[in-house]
Formats: sequence, C-alpha cells, structure tokens
Amino acid sequence: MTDSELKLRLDAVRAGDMTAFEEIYNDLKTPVMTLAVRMTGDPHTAEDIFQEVFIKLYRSPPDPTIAKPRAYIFRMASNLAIDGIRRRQRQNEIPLEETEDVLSCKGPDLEEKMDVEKALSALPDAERSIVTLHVNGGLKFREIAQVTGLPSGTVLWKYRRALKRLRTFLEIK
Amino acid sequence: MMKLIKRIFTLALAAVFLCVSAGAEELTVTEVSSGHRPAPDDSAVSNDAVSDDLDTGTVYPFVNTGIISYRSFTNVPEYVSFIFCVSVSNMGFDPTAEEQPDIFPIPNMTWKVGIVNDTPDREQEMTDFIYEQYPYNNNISFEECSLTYDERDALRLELRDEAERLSDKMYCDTVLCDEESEKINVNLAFFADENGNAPYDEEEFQRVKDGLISKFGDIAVVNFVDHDGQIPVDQQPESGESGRYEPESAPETRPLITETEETRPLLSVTDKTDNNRIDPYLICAVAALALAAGIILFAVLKKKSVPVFSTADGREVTAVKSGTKQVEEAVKNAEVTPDDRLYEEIVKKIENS
Repeated sequence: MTDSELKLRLDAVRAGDMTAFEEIYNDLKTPVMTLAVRMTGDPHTAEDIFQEVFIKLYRSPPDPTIAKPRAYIFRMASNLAIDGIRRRQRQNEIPLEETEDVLSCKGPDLEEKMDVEKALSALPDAERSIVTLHVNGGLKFREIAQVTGLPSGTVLWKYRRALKRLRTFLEIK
Repeated sequence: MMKLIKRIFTLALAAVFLCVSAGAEELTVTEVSSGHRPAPDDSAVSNDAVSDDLDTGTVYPFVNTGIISYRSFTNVPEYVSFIFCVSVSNMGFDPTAEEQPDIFPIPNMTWKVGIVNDTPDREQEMTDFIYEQYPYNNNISFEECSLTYDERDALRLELRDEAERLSDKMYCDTVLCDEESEKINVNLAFFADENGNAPYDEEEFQRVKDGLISKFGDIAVVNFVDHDGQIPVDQQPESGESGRYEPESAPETRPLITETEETRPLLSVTDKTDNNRIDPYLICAVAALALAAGIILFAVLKKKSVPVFSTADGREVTAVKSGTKQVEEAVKNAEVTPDDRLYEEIVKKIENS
C-alpha cells in the first residue's frame, strides 16, 4: 500500500470505516509486529505494543497533512516499543519456546528464522531497528531518519554496517 | 540489446554533429619518449613542443590541478567507493623555472582506492583501470568501505552542511572509510584567506569537531587536514575531494612501468604548431565511434564479468552485492506474522472504548 492509498484509507477510518481500518491492519500487521518483537525482544510485550499501535491508529489517525503516514505509524510503533523496553528489561536472546508462540511458519523452516533472529538480536538496538524498518517496513532511509531522529547519512551507514555484521553472523558469502 | 546499440549510435552521431557545428580547435600531438635524455638528432623530443602557457596545456594534463579523484575518471565501476590521488611528485615541472627540461620524468602518484566490501576481489582490475587513465608510476593501496560512492557522497554532504552550520572558517574536506574502526574518517580543513594562508585555530577546530561528534559521533572520527594554504579561497574544491601537489617529496613507489623500449610514450599537447595537423572532424568522428564502441563493450563485459548464481528457490542474483541481497532476503523471510486473534482483540477494545 502506497502512502497515497494509505492516506485515503485513513480518511475513511476517520469517518469510522472499519473496512478501511482492516485493510490498513492487514497491510501493516506483519512489519509492525516484526518491529515490535525485534525492538523489545519479548513477544508478549510486542503483542501489547502491537495492539496499542492499531488502537491508537483508529482513535487518532495521523493528520491528513502528514505526507508520509506510513513512516508516521512506524515512528509511533517505535516510540511505544521504546516505552515498552523501559518498562521491561531486555533479554539478550529470545527463548525458542516463547518465540514459537509468535512466529508463524509461513515459509522457510523455523530454524532458519531463528538464526536470523539471533543474528538480529546481536545487533545494537539502533541498527536492528533500521534494518527492520527498511527491509520489513519498506521505509526509505530518509523516512527512517525521521522515525529514528538520526541523520539520513547515519542511518545509511548503520544499515550497511548491520548488513555486514549479519552476513558475518549468518556466514553468507 | 539492439535498442541499446541503436540508442548509443544515435548519441554518437549527435556527438559528431555537435563537434562539427561547434568547430573543434586545432590540436597537434607531439610524441615524447619517456625517461630518457634525447640524442642530439632526436627530433621527436623538443622543448619547443611544450607550451609555456599553463592554461593551454602542459606535459601532464593534471599539472594545473591538485584535485584528482573519483570525478577525474570516466566509467568508474560501481563497486568503487572512492579514488584519491594522495600525492603527486617527481613531475619535474616547475612553472617558475626559467628553463624547462628537454624531457619530463615519469611522475610518481600515490593512490588510495575504496572498494565496496561485499564485492569480489577487484584490486587487479582497479590497478589496470587507474593505469589506463594515468599511466605513470602508481602506488595504489586498497581499503574496504561499506558505502558506495553515491552513499558516501550523500553522507559527505550532510557532514559538509553541518560543518558549514557550525563554522564559517572550516569545511569538510574528505570523507573516507576506516576499515579498522568501521567508522568514517572526516577530515576538516580551514579555508584559506586572500593570501592563500590558512592558519590553524585549535579552539575553532575543537568546537567544530565537538559539534560533529555530537551528531555523528557513533559513526565518525573527525580529523584535521592541513593544506598549508595551497588551496586559495576561490578554488575550494566543490567536491571536497582534493589531492595534494608535493614537488619536493619522492615517496617510495612501485612503478608499474619501466624505462624500456616497451614503455608507452607520453604525450604532450600543445596549442598550435605547423607540424602534424590532424583534421578535427576526423578526431570528432573517431572519438564518437570510439565512445560508442567503448560503451557497448563495457556493457557487454560488465554483464559477463558479474557472476550470476542461483538461489535455493531458483532465482538468479548477481554476485556483486549478492551478500547484501541474501541478508536482506533472510531478514525479510524472518518477519513475524501476528496471530489472527489479535485483530479480534483490537476490534473488541475499540468497540468497548
């Protein structure tokens, strides 16, 4: 869903249209949940944040003057996740039994997903967020700069460095 | 492919037309052998062939500039992050000298080249690439860099703008990658005044450095670069990438060419002589056709030289940046899909509020 399409649906949500809300939900549910899980490291906290994002989105949709509503929504999710982290101490690894409740095996086997999640959890918080926002959220680096409050050059630099580290961790040649 | 070839030939013909309508200047080319003192009867070597006017041409085309970098080259491969000529020496050209030597020695050039770090080994290819355009005594060192040229330049512009905001006395000169620290090296320099002097101000440097570190500190190391006032105010490099002219130093070099009969002859370009006139239209036509042929060859070779491999699910990806693509795909595939019950819980909470 492009920003223009999202804006149209947000206008409908503002008028109380649940169908439009469901369309937005279906488009954003996976990247928002992915971001929440990777930022908090805890699937239960991530679920709470996930629900809070969409409830807030329905009650207070972004202003029509906001040019990039998608980036706005991810910034909201990111801020809520940071609040969630502050409320709960972050763990270094996501225990397999906890994560299985959240992950859905829709493609590659679970072990491969776990390798990637372990690799991601080894990254600094900022790099992990940036990778998730770009790869899973589909945001451009300038938009990620707005979400994270970092200069776009820094975002790009951190992204490249994160990929290099992931490649080493995953032993991808 | 045929469309591309047709397009290229259209461009080549347009180039020829422009040359004809603009009227090419008459050029003469005098071949000068390299590294040897000429025999008295060697008419190929003559000091008269060297122009005294710096603006119209000298023995080496880069003598007038201290700026030799990425932008000095054509068709730079996309895996190159930066090319810097760190120093040039042994040029034997002193514009203030009353007498010029009969022959100019081969200059020594020291280069630093950044390769994007997920590409296959390209050092020999880049050595050949530099030699093709600067066939002198080249000493080339290679470094890895996470960013492509465009990405690094975008970062450089951000740093430049921030330095400009912090100070009107300093500017961001170069931005290079440092393999060891995995950070970028930002080099600051002072603007030169009308007299070409750029006195060092420790307080100002620290203030600007602190300002940049506060914004970019986790990715940047800020250094000072002293240009000894060699860059006048009205010639500050727009690209912010400058090489240096060091007439006195003779760094250790590993010459790629030796002074033998196989040595490629150096060329001097003068503005006008009575000998060896070449039809300018012919030059334009040859240049245009050479350009077209070069582009076609480059496109073909580039397509061939980039290895392609198949992924487990049958897709084909190129080896250049293949590591990056694989990682991105792995991250994408590892995304988390929420349970369907969560939507019902959200709707329930909305309705109850």
